Amino acid sequence: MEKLQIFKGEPDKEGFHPFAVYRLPHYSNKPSYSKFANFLLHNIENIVPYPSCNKDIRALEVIGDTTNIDLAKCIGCLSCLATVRNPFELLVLDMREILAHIIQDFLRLERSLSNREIFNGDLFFPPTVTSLSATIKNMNEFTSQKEIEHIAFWSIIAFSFLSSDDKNWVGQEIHLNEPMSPRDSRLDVCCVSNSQVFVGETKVSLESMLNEDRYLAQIQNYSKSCERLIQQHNSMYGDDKNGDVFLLIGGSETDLLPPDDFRSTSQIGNKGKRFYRTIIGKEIKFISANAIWLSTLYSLVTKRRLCWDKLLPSIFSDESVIGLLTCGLVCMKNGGISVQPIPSTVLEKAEQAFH
Amino acid sequence: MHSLAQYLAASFADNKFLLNDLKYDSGSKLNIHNFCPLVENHPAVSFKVCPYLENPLSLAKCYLTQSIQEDTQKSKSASDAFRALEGLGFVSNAEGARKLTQAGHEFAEIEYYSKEMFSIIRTAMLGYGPFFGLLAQVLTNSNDKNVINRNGIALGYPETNEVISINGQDVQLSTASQDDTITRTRSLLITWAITSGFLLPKDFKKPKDQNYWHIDTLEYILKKKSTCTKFDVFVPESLFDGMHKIERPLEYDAMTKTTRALRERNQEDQRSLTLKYESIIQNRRYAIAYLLGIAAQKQTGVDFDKLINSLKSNGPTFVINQDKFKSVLQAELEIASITGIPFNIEDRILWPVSKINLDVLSIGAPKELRQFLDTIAESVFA
Repeated sequence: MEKLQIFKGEPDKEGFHPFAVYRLPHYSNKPSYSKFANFLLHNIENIVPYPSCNKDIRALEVIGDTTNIDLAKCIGCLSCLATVRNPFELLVLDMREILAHIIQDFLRLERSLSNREIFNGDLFFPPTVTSLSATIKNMNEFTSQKEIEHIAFWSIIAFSFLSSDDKNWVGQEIHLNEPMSPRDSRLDVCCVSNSQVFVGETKVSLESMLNEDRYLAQIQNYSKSCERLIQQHNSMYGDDKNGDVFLLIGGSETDLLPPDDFRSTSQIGNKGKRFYRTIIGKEIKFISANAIWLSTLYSLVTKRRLCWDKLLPSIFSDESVIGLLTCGLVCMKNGGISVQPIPSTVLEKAEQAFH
Repeated sequence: MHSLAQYLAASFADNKFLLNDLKYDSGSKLNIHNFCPLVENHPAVSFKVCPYLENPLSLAKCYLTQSIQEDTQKSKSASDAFRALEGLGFVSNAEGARKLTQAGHEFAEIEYYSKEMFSIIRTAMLGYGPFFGLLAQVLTNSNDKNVINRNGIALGYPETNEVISINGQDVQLSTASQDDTITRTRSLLITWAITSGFLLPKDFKKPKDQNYWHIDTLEYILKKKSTCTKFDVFVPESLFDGMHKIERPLEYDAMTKTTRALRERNQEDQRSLTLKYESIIQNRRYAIAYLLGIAAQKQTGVDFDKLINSLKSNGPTFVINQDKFKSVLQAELEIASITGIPFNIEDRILWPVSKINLDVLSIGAPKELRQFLDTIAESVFA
């Protein structure tokens, strides 16, 4: 079957169907340079609808009163399904059936996911589309280009979906006034869930990040500024928000493996070594886009939301942890860098049933 | 623009409308989308969308006018569309609001893909001052192979480089257009020139029948981005024989840019000072265009030196700095072209190559100013 119907029903009053559109909040910048402060306050200026399926993929189609996935183009990024807080209530098909159509080798994956065998040493690879009509074939290709439109926007949807708080909120390109910087910056991905604030600086790939060579200064500056602004917010409003800034890296996940890992693909040019040499000891933390994708897939398969605002504070509370990949935690211990599994008990504590 | 005119005709007929009425309104059954052939299907929705919006699902709905529900341009888009319709003669002032003119109704009624449309468009554009100024520049600056480079066209308010000393500090008046404005105006008017048979992108196949020029060039016009920098020129020299009349030149109030909107950082002093002298700048630019306009009627030229002396004799109206006035007025002569009355210069005599509607030019001008210029007109002629 070429097209898979996932929803049937009337559109909302703006003419949008579920799964087809994501409504992104934009925040006020009044007074000047206060966008991040307004973001923390959830002071929305307007809400802008965007297609949930990127225009470079165009796998989602609304035909009449139905929402459909074009299986010849779908790369299984899960963006459409993640736009709805509880997708199970609206889908016309069982989630399992949908995932079986859009994720290659789903039945094998399903077993591992159902047994909580994730982040435990094995890499997970998102599916690849084989159809010639697809312009983008897989998540690696998708996340490794057009940073703002692809990985950043996709991450916004994923983080909102993976928030434990139903009233979570997100923002993209939040302007940050940095007094010490000659130019102001923008925070690519921001999410608030309960008292946790996630800030992600997206990069399309390890190589691009190294070539640009700004990530160290960026993360250090953003961390200082965000910490200051969050503290200011807390003292002004009696709140208790905590936040952290992460690198959110797309492209080939195996490039991000520790250099001595036999699966690493960044030995040429010592790219991997250069990256780790830079970030170690500097409190820089990273997450691969694939790890977020895996968390989303896990949530959809098990019907247990793997909440970032419970998982990330837990795993990164250990100072030796510097990164998260689909195969587990990247840890710096005893002078060496290695991948360590996340204990399933930690995962279990970060889960929340859909309601 | 055609779709917008059709929408206005269907919604308002001969009744007045305001700026906000141009915008798309999700609460209304009738909108520009009902008439626009450019809207297209989008997979994420069951209705058609404007392909020119960066986010086609945006509630702005229409790139040309934005919408009542969402307008991140703060009415700038609608305002530009309004001014374009006015420039083309398709709408006219109606006690603070606007109405479609007879030409506007005709424009709306005729099928765009008809050959009658070509002459409607061409006539309308040739009546607009800045467009005529563009054609004059194109003809002057094209090479002997009748090719013009995009950078050979610069349409903007003149830069006079006037500096005023305030409390020991030198502040330059902001008299010229910003680069981005020049770029946008140029792009728009080049597009008009391509549509109406005066320019073609280099190596673009020349339409066989001129009456279908506006259709044959759609392939280029409808592109979202244009990277063409060279154009073949089809501007006839006969257009500048002094007989063509510009019915819609720039008006008095349009002789300067919107200085109130000057808002780049640290430009408060420049802005206040320019506002202080704005009427003098408007007066002298208006004087240049008006006197050239009368000279054109009399089929004569304006003596530049006599012009300087005559305007200097009424210092408070036209002069900021007596010593620099000659060089300033030299710079200000550029206003003639964008107003719609370009000229040739020979032995310091300015010979206008078109006529202009002096009443339209004088809209907003103080009555005494026009009267003064009428009295000195003969004295500045060649």
